[in-house]
Amino acid sequence: MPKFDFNSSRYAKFFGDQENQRFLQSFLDKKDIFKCNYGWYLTQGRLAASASPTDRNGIASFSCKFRAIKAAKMMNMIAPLGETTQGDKDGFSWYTGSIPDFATEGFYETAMERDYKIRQFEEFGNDADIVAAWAYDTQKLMDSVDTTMNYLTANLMSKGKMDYTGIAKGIQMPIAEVPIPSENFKKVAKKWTDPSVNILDEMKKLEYKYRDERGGYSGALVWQMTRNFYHNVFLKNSSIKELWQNWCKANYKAYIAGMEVNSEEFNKAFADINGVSPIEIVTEQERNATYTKDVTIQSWPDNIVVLRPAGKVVEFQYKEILDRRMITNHGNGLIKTLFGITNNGLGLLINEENANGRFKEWSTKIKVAAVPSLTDIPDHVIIDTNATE
Amino acid sequence: MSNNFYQQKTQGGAVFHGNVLMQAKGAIGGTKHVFVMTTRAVRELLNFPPVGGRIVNPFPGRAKVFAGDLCEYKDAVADEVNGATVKILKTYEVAVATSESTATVIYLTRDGYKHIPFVGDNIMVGAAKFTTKGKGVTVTSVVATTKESNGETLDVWELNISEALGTLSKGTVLVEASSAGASVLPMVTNPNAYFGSDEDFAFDSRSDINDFYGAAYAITPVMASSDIYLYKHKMSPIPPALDAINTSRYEGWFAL
Repeated sequence: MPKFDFNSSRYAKFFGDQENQRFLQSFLDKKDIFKCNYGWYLTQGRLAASASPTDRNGIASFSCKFRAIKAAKMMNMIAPLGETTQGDKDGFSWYTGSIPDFATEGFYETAMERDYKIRQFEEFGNDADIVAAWAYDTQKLMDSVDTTMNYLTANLMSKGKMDYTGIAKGIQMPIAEVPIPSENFKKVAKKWTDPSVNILDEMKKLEYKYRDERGGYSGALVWQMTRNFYHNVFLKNSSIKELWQNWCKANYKAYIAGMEVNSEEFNKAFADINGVSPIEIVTEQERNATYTKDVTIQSWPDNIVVLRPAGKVVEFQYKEILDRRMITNHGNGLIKTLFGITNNGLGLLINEENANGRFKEWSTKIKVAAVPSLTDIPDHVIIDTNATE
Repeated sequence: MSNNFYQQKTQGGAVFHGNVLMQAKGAIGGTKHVFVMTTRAVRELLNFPPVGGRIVNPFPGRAKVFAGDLCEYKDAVADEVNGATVKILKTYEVAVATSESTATVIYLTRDGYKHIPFVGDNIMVGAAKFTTKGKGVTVTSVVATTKESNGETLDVWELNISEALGTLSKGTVLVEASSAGASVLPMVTNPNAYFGSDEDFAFDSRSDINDFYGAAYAITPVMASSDIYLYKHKMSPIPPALDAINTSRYEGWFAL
């Protein structure tokens, strides 16, 4: 006679009947258990206000509208009682795209494994280890969602398109591109890796041109570059070193000629610069595991620097996952399925209790149907610091 | 006005300050069951592989595939370059025998339950094996029309093809070729999955993989297995090579 009943354990309640659904969700919502370990993409944008509907043709499409930044015109000086001249009205541009589906790997538990856990629990009455193991594996699935969104977001922002060719173990193809004007893809006069280039001057020129092209726009902008580029090209540039050293002198800070620029102190020096907006460092890398290789990749190329309006310029579009609708409405009664929402609403966790021959089988997986979209398209400037004019 | 580009495209998405008069007609068809319903405690018909695939050869325009149509599913483990893919086994039935072996105008059955040919398609005569090479030709024009044959008026697709395919009898099954040429393989060489239901291709497909403004289709097909049976007479036209790999021991049924 077991001391404790496994069916009353927390772990058992992650699967099974619909009455356990709320318990599963409340566990997934515990912030001290599940964390966002790869949240760079969330610093760039926010979830769309609502899901995109899927029509019966199979397309779930969203549309993004945008207007180019334009400064206002000055007024006409007039005599009193006169009429006003008629102004033109600006239209707006839009682009529409569709939303692909993604899935993490699933982890499965056979009846033998479950029986082992039951025996442990019945002996010790404590499912903490079992729950911790499940939470650890589920955290990895949530990380998989976040890291995929990081990849797509970095792709979109640094290249203007998303390409899933050569990624993971499923469908591999270019997904979409956004209609960034061709004039927004800039080259440089000299490669910025050239030691003779004054990067700060180049950035000033580009930023002045950006603002002039938009009628003297004075709003906040941000430069974005990868961490590698920042440390190994930007901070090593002679103009940066000179700036930092001059700042040290002006602030009575000691330095040794030839030493590397101190990033923290450089930021203070940089804040005093006029004409160059703040720099945001992009930290993004993903693990790409295919059937033949398992490598770390970086979606945002080191040579790409982006200049754009400050703030969140990405909107994550999402749609209903077909599996949920089919299972909820037409699911096989032999299979017990519980759903949970993860990753700030992007992920659908699916816990299933299935039949496998004579015994049961349990599985956990997360499916996502989401894609980032860009909202600052006419003002999103992508500079290739390796490509010369 | 709809914000959805695809809805706009379907509706015409234009502004007209007047009255537009037009009409349309159509029909919603019934259903033809292609899968044989055997008695089981749990029917295992709809078994899907872990990841679906990108359809490599979608129809260029509006067309359909039907429940029970064969396809070739390849997991990414077998093709790291292209990832997981699906190839439709497109088949076409000759409606009227050619009058001579040099004919470059041929007639295919058009009854709403057959695959639709498009200009630019490469087709060939279905051979005895999927690994047998044959002559592939390109379709240069497609017209929906009728043809008198043996006192009957048949609904047909009239095709002009780039070169003759030799003498074709009524009922000969043509398949999609991998390319045009004197000795080419068919597009599908290893049919191993089915479409579980009718699927509509509603949009102009991508002209190449980087054509973002064309439609790309991805689907998870049903894995074929020896205990999934189909009624042969309800399937799309069966080329000789497909008939040759039929494992069903029940006459009139098909299984892989």
